[in-house]
Amino acid sequence: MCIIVILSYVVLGIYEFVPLYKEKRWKEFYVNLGLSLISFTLAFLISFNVKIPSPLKPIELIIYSLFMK
Amino acid sequence: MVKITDKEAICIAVLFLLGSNIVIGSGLDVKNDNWIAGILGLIYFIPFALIYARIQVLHEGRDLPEIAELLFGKVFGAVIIAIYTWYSLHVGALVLRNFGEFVKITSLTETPLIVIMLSFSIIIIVAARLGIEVIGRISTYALPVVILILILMEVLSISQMNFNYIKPYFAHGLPKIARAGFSAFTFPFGESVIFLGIFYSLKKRGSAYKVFLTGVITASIVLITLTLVNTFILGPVKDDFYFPSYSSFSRIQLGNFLQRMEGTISVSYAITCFIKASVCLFVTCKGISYIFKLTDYRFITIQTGLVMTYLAFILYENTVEMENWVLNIYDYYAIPFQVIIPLFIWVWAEIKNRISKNPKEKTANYQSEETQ
Repeated sequence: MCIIVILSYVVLGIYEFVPLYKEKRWKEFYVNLGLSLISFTLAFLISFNVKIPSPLKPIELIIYSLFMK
Repeated sequence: MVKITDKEAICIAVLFLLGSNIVIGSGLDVKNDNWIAGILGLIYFIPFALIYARIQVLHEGRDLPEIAELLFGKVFGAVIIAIYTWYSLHVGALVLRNFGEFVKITSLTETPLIVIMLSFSIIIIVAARLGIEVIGRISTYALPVVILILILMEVLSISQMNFNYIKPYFAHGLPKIARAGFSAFTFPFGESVIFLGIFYSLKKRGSAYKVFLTGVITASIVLITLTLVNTFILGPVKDDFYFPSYSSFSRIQLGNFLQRMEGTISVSYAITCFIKASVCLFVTCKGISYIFKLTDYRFITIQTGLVMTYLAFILYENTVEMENWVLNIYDYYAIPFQVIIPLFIWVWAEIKNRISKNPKEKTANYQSEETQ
């Protein structure tokens, strides 16, 4: 599974980053790189069945403590 | 600059608002009084629709990030842009997750959830990358299909209906129904605050009022009718189903040749979810590109779409948790995005508008006095 993830991201990388590099659009390049790193990390962890904490949990805790005491 | 017509904008609005509610229904929690909650939700929302439209009319041709920066400056404006970028990303993820759960429960039971959502996200990413004009054109073709399917299914299911299931009226008491009406306000009507990120592209000046009101009223008529049909068919057991519309349409049976019609609602659901998630992804990409001052949002659509899909996957552990979030938490969570911040933006926009008008009036008066 993780090999599929790595391969897909390599293909995506070639498709997305090569044109940006050639056109020297550095701002777009770095923002895309940041987003790619986030999405790759998430995809890699999901492929290993790692339980990633949901961002809704802290929101839920705040709402419970504020409105549902 | 890309422009969309009023008709396209109305079609986007209706499909967006139908979104997940087409199978979930509106104003949950009050059983046979759900339809009253739907009407109350619409009544609560109309003033806010006017506020959202007013914000757009005051800043013709500008999207939400530009409005926020213009009104609140770079720093505070960026905070508001970040808040709404998160909100549209989150709503998009919720829609994707709802659709994934729906497909997994009803048809692809053995397929992993992430595969279903990734497959669906491909077309969403393509649509968002092609832009709002394309989403608008798809909507004009898709809306009649969705409405026709719903009308046809509702007519075919008349033989399965028991009109007594709607009684007793107001059985849950007005306070509880009013609370459920607020639930209908936040989900789905209030979510139309996201339109502030796309209605900058309206062709006609001042048509935001028309688009917001027509879109919201049409969508609410469809949703309330659907809620009534579900009540007539499923009656007291309606709340036992995660997707009541799917269950009620599965009961259609005309002789031996016309049965198992629930596939049609799945098609409608796929269309509405596609439009809603595409709009959310488009607004998210626009927000991110505005924060980082990118020249084009298209460069980041693929990665943002993937982040949205993974976010949808990690949001909940199961369907029960998803339902608990929608029923108990979402109403409170949505208040700042749908009520507090838009009110704040509107008041500040009106003040700034008056201040910027006054010097012009003074100069005009002075000039007229001079000519006299």
